[in-house]
Amino acid sequence: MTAEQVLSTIPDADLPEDVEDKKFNFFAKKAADASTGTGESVQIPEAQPNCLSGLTIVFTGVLPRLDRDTSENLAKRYGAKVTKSISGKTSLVVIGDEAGPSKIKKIKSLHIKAINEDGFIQLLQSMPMEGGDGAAAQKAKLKREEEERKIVEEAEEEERRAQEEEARQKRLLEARKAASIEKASHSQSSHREPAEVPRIIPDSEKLWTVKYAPSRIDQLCGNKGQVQKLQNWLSNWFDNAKKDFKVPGRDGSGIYRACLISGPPGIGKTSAAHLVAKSLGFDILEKNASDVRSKSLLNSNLKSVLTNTSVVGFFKHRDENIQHTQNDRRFCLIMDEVDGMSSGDHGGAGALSAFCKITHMPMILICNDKSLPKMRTFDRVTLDLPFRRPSEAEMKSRLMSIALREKIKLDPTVIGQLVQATGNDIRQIINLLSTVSKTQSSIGGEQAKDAANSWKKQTVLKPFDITARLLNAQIYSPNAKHSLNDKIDLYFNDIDFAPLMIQENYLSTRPSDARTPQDHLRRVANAADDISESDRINSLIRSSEQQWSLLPFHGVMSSVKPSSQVAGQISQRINFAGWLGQNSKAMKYQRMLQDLQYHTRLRTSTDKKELRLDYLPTLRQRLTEPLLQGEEQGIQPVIDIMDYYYLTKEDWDNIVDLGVGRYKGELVLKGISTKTKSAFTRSYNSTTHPIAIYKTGNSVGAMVSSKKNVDYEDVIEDDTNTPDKDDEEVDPDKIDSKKDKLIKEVKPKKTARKAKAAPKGRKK
Amino acid sequence: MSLWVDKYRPKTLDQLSFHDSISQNLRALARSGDFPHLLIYGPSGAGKKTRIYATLNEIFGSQVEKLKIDVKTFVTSSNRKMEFNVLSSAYHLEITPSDMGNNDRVVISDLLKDVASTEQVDFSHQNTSKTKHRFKVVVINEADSLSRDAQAALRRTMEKYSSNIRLILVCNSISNIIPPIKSRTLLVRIPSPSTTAISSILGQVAKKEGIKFSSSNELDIQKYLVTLADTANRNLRKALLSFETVAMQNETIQLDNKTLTIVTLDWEEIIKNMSNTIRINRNVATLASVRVVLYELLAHCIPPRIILKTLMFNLIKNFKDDAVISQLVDLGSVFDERLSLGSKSIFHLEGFVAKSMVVIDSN
Repeated sequence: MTAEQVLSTIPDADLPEDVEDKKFNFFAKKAADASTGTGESVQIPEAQPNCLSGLTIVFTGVLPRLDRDTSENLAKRYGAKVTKSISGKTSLVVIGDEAGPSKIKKIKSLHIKAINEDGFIQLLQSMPMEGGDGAAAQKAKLKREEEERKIVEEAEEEERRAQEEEARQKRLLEARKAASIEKASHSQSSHREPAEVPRIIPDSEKLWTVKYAPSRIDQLCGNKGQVQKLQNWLSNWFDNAKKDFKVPGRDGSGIYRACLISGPPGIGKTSAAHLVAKSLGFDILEKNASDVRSKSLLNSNLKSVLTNTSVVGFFKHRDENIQHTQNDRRFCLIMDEVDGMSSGDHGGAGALSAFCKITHMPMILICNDKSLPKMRTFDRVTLDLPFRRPSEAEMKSRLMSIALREKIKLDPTVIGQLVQATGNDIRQIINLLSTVSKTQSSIGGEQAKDAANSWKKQTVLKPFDITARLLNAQIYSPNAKHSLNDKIDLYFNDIDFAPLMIQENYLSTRPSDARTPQDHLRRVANAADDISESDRINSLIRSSEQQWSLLPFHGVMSSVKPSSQVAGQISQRINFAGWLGQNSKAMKYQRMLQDLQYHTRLRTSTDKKELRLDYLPTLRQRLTEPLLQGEEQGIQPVIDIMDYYYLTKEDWDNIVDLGVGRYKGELVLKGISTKTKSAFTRSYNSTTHPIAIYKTGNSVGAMVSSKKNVDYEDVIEDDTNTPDKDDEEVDPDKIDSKKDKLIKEVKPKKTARKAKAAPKGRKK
Repeated sequence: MSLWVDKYRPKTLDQLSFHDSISQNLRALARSGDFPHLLIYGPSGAGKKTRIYATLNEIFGSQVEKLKIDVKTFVTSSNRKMEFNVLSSAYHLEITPSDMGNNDRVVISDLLKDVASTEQVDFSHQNTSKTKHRFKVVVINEADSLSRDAQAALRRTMEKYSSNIRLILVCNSISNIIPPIKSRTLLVRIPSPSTTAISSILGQVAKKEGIKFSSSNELDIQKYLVTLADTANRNLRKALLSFETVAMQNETIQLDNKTLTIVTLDWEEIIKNMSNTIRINRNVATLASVRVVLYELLAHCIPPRIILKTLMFNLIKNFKDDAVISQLVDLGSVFDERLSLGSKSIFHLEGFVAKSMVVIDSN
């Protein structure tokens, strides 16, 4: 039976006839892609292994019961190739609701079989093992077998090599032992014990990550291009040095004395650097985060090394009579974990980048995140080699051969899951395999899922992702297998931002099961109620009570419960929490109001609140109306009022700014002509005005504190006591103008500015 | 040039025109030359502060009117420097500890002790009868927003240094004042003046300022001034201020044109518009637009509880049905409580708006 035969028994899904070219809404689409329809559960049939082999399947639209992830994983598990876009090679399309119009057009034009969700399930049930005997299935089978054969060959090859290596080591060891015994017998008079012979650790005792670390460049997974670049740069380094790093060369790498490899952990950056350096015959000097790398230490330790040549070559080949070549005297400095230079390594990055300009040996710097501000210093002085995470395909054969050598039965389809769970971290996958191998000898679909789940990297979600997930209806459906704890975990990804983000965005969803606008409003009101209650919990947590044990409860009330009410499609962009900005704006205005209250207090008898609510509207009227109507004649009355209330020009601006609605600051200011405004400012500045507050409290205070902070580090101790004498001779009657802010000092410009700043300072 | 409120503020107890019995009691206290700690409370715009200053004037003479502002710096327990403004005359200090937020305890313990432990030394007026008082008066504003800690700190200070200082606590409501403080003070409640008292004051001011009315009929003017007092919620300050605004906007006040002569403040107008929107359009989009307005009001220092109260009263004005009104008032009180217990006021205001939309919808 072939796949085609099976497919012909499955009814075609009806394609929507007239596809209107609706305006494409990316966010709605994105939300739709991630969500499911209803919460009805579906029985996923147990199909024959590899039954979809040879089929290329495209999923489009929203399937009524299966969500996108589940369905794609299902297809992959049974050996199908899942692609995103439809092409001539596509063997069938599983179509759901709201499929894209362009996709439907393509299906029609390419005459591809389209089935719906029921059809897909039927397909799973009826397909024979190994995808039947159609041509495509056979081809896929062959291809798979070919791959497997290759992996087996490679594994055997490695096995053989490892054994050879072990044997060689053993031989070497015995030879040495014999030599030392011989030596010992020669110098018996000294009764010296034979020197401790270095023990050779057999492979079986090594960690898997060490054991299977790549030993040849072609064993590196992924990043082939970058490795090639690194190799070119390193091999041409001395040629470039001869040209004084002036000629860029073919790939532009000729002008760099150092290179910077960057990329996420566990993708083989360090391995690549070591392998390349080793393969080109360099001796490696490595420094990493465990070494202190401050500026002074780098200067003393590293700088002297930079011009050295290696002497290892002189000793190395004593046992094997090989003539050492020029190559052997070359050093390569690998500086690992450059972004790990912490506060203890003060000035380290700067010093290192300075070395990059002058070094006489190639330097390879390795870091995780090149975008950090402290890494910017390396931007122009190093050859930039960003490493990417190796893809599933690139790791597959390597992982399979490891599994083969360790005699674990590893299902090839499982690798995809592992890769996803670990975020393409090959090192972690190997660690994971080695742990699992202690208890199990085969890893198949379901076990891998559990293992992958428990090993899933705990990445902290960003506030936007938290919001998107919480407001997504999918996690609230009964068959989502997303427990309350999982949802609270989402909140715990960022306990400060999650509630704020939910509050900001809960109005912009379309709840999946709200039929009427009234229903939607009711849900929103419930959510708002919960959010409001959560604020009380929050104050219990943050206030003097410090009841942090309420945090999960706060998570439920502030994030999970409100989101569960309104969860659905997110119809807009997710906005960043507006509360923060609004809050700081409110604080700014509060300070302004406080100042106004202080200034006017001598004339009024009111507190801040009443000042804003009752006084300011009238006061604003008195302060702006004359300018609006009388233009320049109005200036003097306004200034009179300001002087009576001890208001400065700045206060005038603030009073206008505090208006809302019809009297919003900008609207009022717009009414006053520019001419009047500048005339007003001019005439205000030309006269003197009373000021309500003098800062007398700490006119001397600043001096005392600045005296304490004198930096003695660079001061050379003077043995003579003359400075003390000078101190005594200071005229006690002379007023130190620096000590009193009310006295302006004319000469030094800096102090003058300080004195000018003093009246401003009280507005803090 | 000053606003009428400040221009016509009475300076002495004799000039005070309403609450005569309270004035008499205060005068009697002042005459005796000594008085206990006072806790003066009442709604805003009733003349609390004016009465206090009139009393101080009675005791110390007009010297108390010569005010100046000093800036003191404090170091909080977390080693942060805070600046604090103190209004003072030779005989008294006026402080607003709630300016310091949660650090108000530092003010009470440092400043008050500092003042209290030094005796009043003033030889210049030794021979006049009025300076026999060897104490300084400390006026504490917004006493109802003092934190618990600060109030506790105040407790003992009041007794220990009673020979050197007299405290006058000023607040709107005594519900937040802890009982030990209440028991150590003489409570004086100053209620809002009656509408007739306000209108007669407004009438006097109008006469002095030479305000022209469209009709010279005394009764009409009287009626207008009473409505003004009413809309100001018997808040004398507010009444005077809005009267001044009206007088500024119109050469002669048209007594028959209500829209021109009754002032709605900028924030009141916004809240009124908001309540209208809620009444007409009850859906999620409205809620989103209301949020923007609420943020605007909050940012411009309109206290959230005032917003809630005004909004609720504006809303219930539109309904005759007692069931709706009682439900709305119920909601209002629930969210009012949350406002005072929580910290992010927008959450509660939005909650109130959303919930009240549902209530209106379901009726």
